[in-house]
Amino acid sequence: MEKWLHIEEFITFPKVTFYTVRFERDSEMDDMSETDKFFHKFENNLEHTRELDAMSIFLKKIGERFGAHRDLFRHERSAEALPPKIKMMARFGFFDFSETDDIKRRLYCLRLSDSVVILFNGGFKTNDDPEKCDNVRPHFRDAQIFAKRINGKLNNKDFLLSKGRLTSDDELAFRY
Amino acid sequence: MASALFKKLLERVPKETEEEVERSMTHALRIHKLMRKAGISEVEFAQLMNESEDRISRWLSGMYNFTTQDLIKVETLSDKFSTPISKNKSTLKITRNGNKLASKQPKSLQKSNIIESDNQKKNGRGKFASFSVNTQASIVVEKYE
Repeated sequence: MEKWLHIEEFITFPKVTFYTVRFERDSEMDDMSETDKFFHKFENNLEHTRELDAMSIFLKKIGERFGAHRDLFRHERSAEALPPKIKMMARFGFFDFSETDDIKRRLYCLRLSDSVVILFNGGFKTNDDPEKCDNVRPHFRDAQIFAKRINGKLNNKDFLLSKGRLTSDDELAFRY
Repeated sequence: MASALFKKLLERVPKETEEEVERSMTHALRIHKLMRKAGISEVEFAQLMNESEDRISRWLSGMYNFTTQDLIKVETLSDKFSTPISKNKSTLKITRNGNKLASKQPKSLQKSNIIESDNQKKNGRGKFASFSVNTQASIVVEKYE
Protein backbone atom coordinates (compact mmCIF):
# COMPACT_ATOMS: atom_id res chain seq x y z
CA MET A 1 0.00 0.00 0.00
CA GLU A 2 1.36 3.38 -0.96
CA LYS A 3 1.10 5.95 1.78
CA TRP A 4 1.53 9.68 1.53
CA LEU A 5 1.24 12.41 4.12
CA HIS A 6 -0.32 15.73 3.25
CA ILE A 7 0.54 18.73 5.40
CA GLU A 8 -2.40 21.01 6.13
CA GLU A 9 -3.21 23.86 8.47
CA PHE A 10 -4.45 22.76 11.89
CA ILE A 11 -4.98 26.14 13.50
CA THR A 12 -3.41 29.55 13.09
CA PHE A 13 -2.77 32.01 15.88
CA PRO A 14 -1.09 35.43 15.66
CA LYS A 15 2.34 34.08 16.62
CA VAL A 16 2.29 30.50 15.43
CA THR A 17 0.79 28.49 12.60
CA PHE A 18 0.19 24.89 13.62
CA TYR A 19 0.05 22.40 10.80
CA THR A 20 -0.88 18.76 10.92
CA VAL A 21 -0.53 15.77 8.60
CA ARG A 22 -3.17 13.60 6.98
CA PHE A 23 -2.60 10.16 5.51
CA GLU A 24 -3.47 9.31 1.94
CA ARG A 25 -3.58 5.53 1.55
CA ASP A 26 -3.88 4.21 -2.00
CA SER A 27 -5.35 7.54 -3.13
CA GLU A 28 -7.89 7.56 -0.27
CA MET A 29 -7.53 10.40 2.20
CA ASP A 30 -8.12 9.62 5.89
CA ASP A 31 -11.23 11.18 7.39
CA MET A 32 -9.21 12.89 10.09
CA SER A 33 -5.81 14.47 10.32
CA GLU A 34 -3.39 12.78 12.71
CA THR A 35 -3.84 15.56 15.29
CA ASP A 36 -7.62 15.40 15.12
CA LYS A 37 -7.29 11.66 15.78
CA PHE A 38 -5.29 12.49 18.89
CA PHE A 39 -7.88 14.91 20.29
CA HIS A 40 -10.77 12.71 19.20
CA LYS A 41 -9.34 9.77 21.18
CA PHE A 42 -9.59 11.74 24.42
CA GLU A 43 -12.49 14.03 23.63
CA ASN A 44 -15.06 12.17 25.68
CA ASN A 45 -12.77 10.74 28.33
CA LEU A 46 -14.07 12.53 31.41
CA GLU A 47 -11.35 11.07 33.60
CA HIS A 48 -8.75 13.27 31.97
CA THR A 49 -10.75 16.26 30.85
CA ARG A 50 -8.53 18.67 32.75
CA GLU A 51 -5.43 17.26 31.09
CA LEU A 52 -6.93 17.59 27.65
CA ASP A 53 -8.09 21.13 28.46
CA ALA A 54 -4.55 21.97 29.49
CA MET A 55 -3.13 20.55 26.27
CA SER A 56 -5.55 22.66 24.23
CA ILE A 57 -4.63 25.76 26.18
CA PHE A 58 -0.91 25.04 25.84
CA LEU A 59 -1.36 25.24 22.08
CA LYS A 60 -3.44 28.38 22.32
CA LYS A 61 -1.00 30.16 24.63
CA ILE A 62 1.99 29.17 22.52
CA GLY A 63 0.16 30.47 19.48
CA GLU A 64 -1.20 33.64 20.95
CA ARG A 65 1.29 34.74 23.54
CA PHE A 66 4.62 32.94 23.81
CA GLY A 67 5.50 31.75 20.33
CA ALA A 68 6.95 28.29 19.78
CA HIS A 69 9.81 28.88 22.18
CA ARG A 70 12.21 25.92 22.35
CA ASP A 71 11.86 25.65 26.15
CA LEU A 72 8.21 24.83 25.73
CA PHE A 73 8.86 21.59 23.87
CA ARG A 74 10.15 18.21 24.93
CA HIS A 75 12.90 16.83 22.76
CA GLU A 76 12.09 13.38 21.43
CA ARG A 77 15.04 12.37 19.24
CA SER A 78 14.38 13.84 15.76
CA ALA A 79 11.00 15.26 16.78
CA GLU A 80 9.47 17.13 19.71
CA ALA A 81 6.46 16.66 21.94
CA LEU A 82 4.00 18.62 24.02
CA PRO A 83 3.11 19.41 26.76
CA PRO A 84 6.11 21.29 28.12
CA LYS A 85 8.08 19.56 30.85
CA ILE A 86 5.62 19.76 33.65
CA LYS A 87 8.20 19.02 36.33
CA MET A 88 9.50 22.52 35.95
CA MET A 89 6.03 23.83 36.54
CA ALA A 90 5.10 21.29 39.19
CA ARG A 91 8.34 22.04 40.99
CA PHE A 92 7.27 25.56 41.57
CA GLY A 93 3.66 24.70 42.09
CA PHE A 94 2.29 26.98 39.44
CA PHE A 95 0.24 24.30 37.82
CA ASP A 96 -0.54 21.60 40.30
CA PHE A 97 -1.09 18.25 38.66
CA SER A 98 -0.45 16.35 41.88
CA GLU A 99 -3.82 14.65 41.58
CA THR A 100 -2.86 13.11 38.28
CA ASP A 101 0.88 12.94 39.04
CA ASP A 102 1.83 14.44 35.74
CA ILE A 103 0.42 15.01 32.32
CA LYS A 104 0.76 11.66 30.63
CA ARG A 105 -0.48 12.65 27.22
CA ARG A 106 2.15 13.10 24.56
CA LEU A 107 1.39 14.97 21.38
CA TYR A 108 4.32 14.50 19.06
CA CYS A 109 5.26 17.34 16.77
CA LEU A 110 8.04 19.03 14.87
CA ARG A 111 9.00 22.58 15.76
CA LEU A 112 10.42 24.22 12.65
CA SER A 113 10.74 27.74 13.99
CA ASP A 114 9.30 30.06 16.63
CA SER A 115 6.29 30.46 14.38
CA VAL A 116 5.83 27.12 12.60
CA VAL A 117 5.00 23.80 14.25
CA ILE A 118 3.71 20.61 12.66
CA LEU A 119 1.57 18.53 14.99
CA PHE A 120 1.34 14.77 14.65
CA ASN A 121 -0.49 12.16 16.74
CA GLY A 122 0.21 10.87 20.24
CA GLY A 123 -1.23 8.97 23.13
CA PHE A 124 -1.34 8.24 26.84
CA LYS A 125 2.16 7.42 27.97
CA THR A 126 2.55 4.57 30.47
CA ASN A 127 6.32 4.19 30.49
CA ASP A 128 9.19 6.67 30.57
CA ASP A 129 10.62 5.02 27.48
CA PRO A 130 8.22 5.57 24.57
CA GLU A 131 9.55 2.42 22.90
CA LYS A 132 8.24 0.42 25.87
CA CYS A 133 4.77 1.96 25.83
CA ASP A 134 2.24 0.31 23.53
CA ASN A 135 0.11 3.45 23.46
CA VAL A 136 2.68 5.92 22.21
CA ARG A 137 5.26 3.71 20.47
CA PRO A 138 3.63 3.80 16.99
CA HIS A 139 3.13 7.56 17.22
CA PHE A 140 6.63 8.12 18.54
CA ARG A 141 8.06 6.10 15.65
CA ASP A 142 5.86 7.87 13.13
CA ALA A 143 6.99 11.22 14.51
CA GLN A 144 10.62 10.25 13.89
CA ILE A 145 9.81 9.27 10.30
CA PHE A 146 7.73 12.40 9.66
CA ALA A 147 10.40 14.65 11.14
CA LYS A 148 13.16 13.14 9.03
CA ARG A 149 11.08 13.35 5.84
CA ILE A 150 10.05 16.95 6.46
CA ASN A 151 13.57 18.05 7.40
CA GLY A 152 14.80 16.32 4.24
CA LYS A 153 12.30 18.27 2.15
CA LEU A 154 13.42 21.51 3.81
CA ASN A 155 17.09 20.71 3.19
CA ASN A 156 16.33 20.05 -0.48
CA LYS A 157 14.35 23.31 -0.69
CA ASP A 158 11.24 21.36 -1.68
CA PHE A 159 9.60 22.96 1.36
CA LEU A 160 10.30 26.54 2.36
CA LEU A 161 9.77 28.49 5.54
CA SER A 162 8.72 32.02 4.77
CA LYS A 163 7.00 34.67 6.86
CA GLY A 164 5.78 32.21 9.46
CA ARG A 165 4.37 29.80 6.88
CA LEU A 166 5.46 26.52 5.40
CA THR A 167 5.22 26.64 1.62
CA SER A 168 6.09 24.60 -1.43
CA ASP A 169 6.03 25.18 -5.18
CA ASP A 170 4.53 21.73 -5.41
CA GLU A 171 2.17 20.00 -2.97
CA LEU A 172 2.97 20.10 0.74
CA ALA A 173 3.20 16.33 0.86
CA PHE A 174 5.73 13.57 1.39
CA ARG A 175 5.88 9.84 1.01
CA TYR A 176 5.58 7.79 4.24
CA MET B 1 -8.94 24.91 6.97
CA ALA B 2 -8.61 24.95 10.75
CA SER B 3 -9.64 21.96 12.83
CA ALA B 4 -13.29 22.23 13.86
CA LEU B 5 -12.74 19.64 16.58
CA PHE B 6 -9.91 21.60 18.15
CA LYS B 7 -11.90 24.83 18.05
CA LYS B 8 -14.75 23.06 19.83
CA LEU B 9 -12.38 21.74 22.50
CA LEU B 10 -10.92 25.21 23.06
CA GLU B 11 -14.35 26.69 23.58
CA ARG B 12 -15.20 24.30 26.40
CA VAL B 13 -12.09 25.05 28.49
CA PRO B 14 -12.95 26.83 31.77
CA LYS B 15 -11.57 30.34 32.08
CA GLU B 16 -9.71 29.48 35.31
CA THR B 17 -7.84 26.63 33.60
CA GLU B 18 -6.77 28.99 30.86
CA GLU B 19 -5.48 31.51 33.40
CA GLU B 20 -3.71 28.79 35.36
CA VAL B 21 -1.92 27.47 32.29
CA GLU B 22 -0.86 30.92 31.19
CA ARG B 23 0.56 31.71 34.61
CA SER B 24 2.34 28.38 34.71
CA MET B 25 3.92 28.86 31.31
CA THR B 26 4.94 32.43 32.07
CA HIS B 27 6.79 31.43 35.23
CA ALA B 28 8.32 28.32 33.70
CA LEU B 29 9.78 30.39 30.88
CA ARG B 30 11.07 33.00 33.29
CA ILE B 31 12.77 30.34 35.38
CA HIS B 32 14.32 28.76 32.28
CA LYS B 33 15.55 32.16 31.17
CA LEU B 34 16.87 32.99 34.62
CA MET B 35 18.77 29.71 34.94
CA ARG B 36 20.20 29.99 31.46
CA LYS B 37 21.28 33.59 32.00
CA ALA B 38 22.81 32.73 35.35
CA GLY B 39 24.41 29.57 33.95
CA ILE B 40 23.21 27.50 36.87
CA SER B 41 21.80 24.01 37.10
CA GLU B 42 18.57 23.03 38.78
CA VAL B 43 20.56 21.80 41.80
CA GLU B 44 22.32 25.12 42.10
CA PHE B 45 19.02 26.83 41.75
CA ALA B 46 17.68 24.74 44.64
CA GLN B 47 20.61 25.96 46.74
CA LEU B 48 19.76 29.51 45.93
CA MET B 49 16.22 28.83 47.03
CA ASN B 50 17.44 27.52 50.39
CA GLU B 51 15.75 24.16 49.90
CA SER B 52 17.32 20.79 50.64
CA GLU B 53 18.19 18.67 47.63
CA ASP B 54 16.03 15.89 49.00
CA ARG B 55 13.05 18.16 49.19
CA ILE B 56 13.67 19.59 45.76
CA SER B 57 14.05 16.12 44.27
CA ARG B 58 10.61 15.28 45.63
CA TRP B 59 9.26 18.42 44.03
CA LEU B 60 11.06 17.50 40.84
CA SER B 61 9.39 14.10 40.76
CA GLY B 62 6.17 15.82 39.79
CA MET B 63 4.39 13.59 42.31
CA TYR B 64 4.68 15.85 45.30
CA ASN B 65 1.54 17.08 46.97
CA PHE B 66 2.25 20.72 47.56
CA THR B 67 0.93 22.17 50.78
CA THR B 68 -0.66 25.57 50.86
CA GLN B 69 2.48 26.88 52.58
CA ASP B 70 4.68 25.49 49.81
CA LEU B 71 2.52 27.15 47.23
CA ILE B 72 2.59 30.48 49.03
CA LYS B 73 6.36 30.26 49.34
CA VAL B 74 7.00 29.41 45.70
CA GLU B 75 4.50 32.00 44.58
CA THR B 76 6.32 34.63 46.64
CA LEU B 77 9.66 33.55 45.26
CA SER B 78 8.38 33.46 41.74
CA ASP B 79 7.15 37.01 42.01
CA LYS B 80 10.64 38.09 42.97
CA PHE B 81 12.15 36.02 40.19
CA SER B 82 9.95 37.78 37.71
CA THR B 83 12.14 40.89 37.97
CA PRO B 84 12.88 41.76 34.35
CA ILE B 85 16.37 40.86 33.27
CA SER B 86 17.93 43.60 31.18
CA LYS B 87 19.99 42.46 28.23
CA ASN B 88 22.35 45.38 28.64
CA LYS B 89 23.04 45.30 32.35
CA SER B 90 25.69 43.13 33.82
CA THR B 91 24.08 42.67 37.23
CA LEU B 92 21.20 40.31 37.88
CA LYS B 93 19.46 40.72 41.21
CA ILE B 94 16.71 38.74 42.87
CA THR B 95 15.38 39.66 46.26
CA ARG B 96 13.31 37.39 48.47
CA ASN B 97 12.31 40.00 51.02
CA GLY B 98 10.92 42.54 48.63
CA ASN B 99 13.73 45.04 49.25
CA LYS B 100 15.22 46.57 46.19
CA LEU B 101 18.96 46.24 45.98
CA ALA B 102 21.27 48.96 44.77
CA SER B 103 22.59 48.37 41.28
CA LYS B 104 26.14 47.76 42.52
CA GLN B 105 26.67 46.41 45.99
CA PRO B 106 29.16 43.57 46.01
CA LYS B 107 30.57 44.91 49.30
CA SER B 108 27.37 44.00 51.06
CA LEU B 109 27.84 40.35 50.25
CA GLN B 110 29.09 38.18 53.06
CA LYS B 111 31.93 35.80 52.17
CA SER B 112 30.64 33.06 54.43
CA ASN B 113 27.42 32.86 52.47
CA ILE B 114 28.92 32.79 49.03
CA ILE B 115 28.13 29.74 46.94
CA GLU B 116 30.16 29.52 43.79
CA SER B 117 28.89 27.63 40.82
CA ASP B 118 30.83 24.40 40.32
CA ASN B 119 30.17 24.57 36.61
CA GLN B 120 31.56 28.04 36.41
CA LYS B 121 34.64 27.01 38.37
CA LYS B 122 35.13 23.93 36.23
CA ASN B 123 34.61 25.70 32.96
CA GLY B 124 36.66 28.63 34.05
CA ARG B 125 34.60 30.95 31.96
CA GLY B 126 34.67 33.47 34.76
CA LYS B 127 31.47 35.17 33.77
CA PHE B 128 30.11 34.86 37.27
CA ALA B 129 31.96 36.04 40.28
CA SER B 130 29.59 34.69 42.88
CA PHE B 131 26.18 33.53 43.85
CA SER B 132 25.36 34.89 47.24
CA VAL B 133 22.70 34.90 49.89
CA ASN B 134 22.97 37.89 52.19
CA THR B 135 21.76 38.15 55.74
CA GLN B 136 18.54 39.87 54.74
CA ALA B 137 17.53 36.79 52.80
CA SER B 138 18.16 38.46 49.50
CA ILE B 139 19.55 36.38 46.68
CA VAL B 140 22.04 38.10 44.47
CA VAL B 141 23.57 36.69 41.35
CA GLU B 142 26.38 39.00 40.39
CA LYS B 143 27.50 38.84 36.82
CA TYR B 144 30.64 40.35 35.44
CA GLU B 145 31.04 40.77 31.70
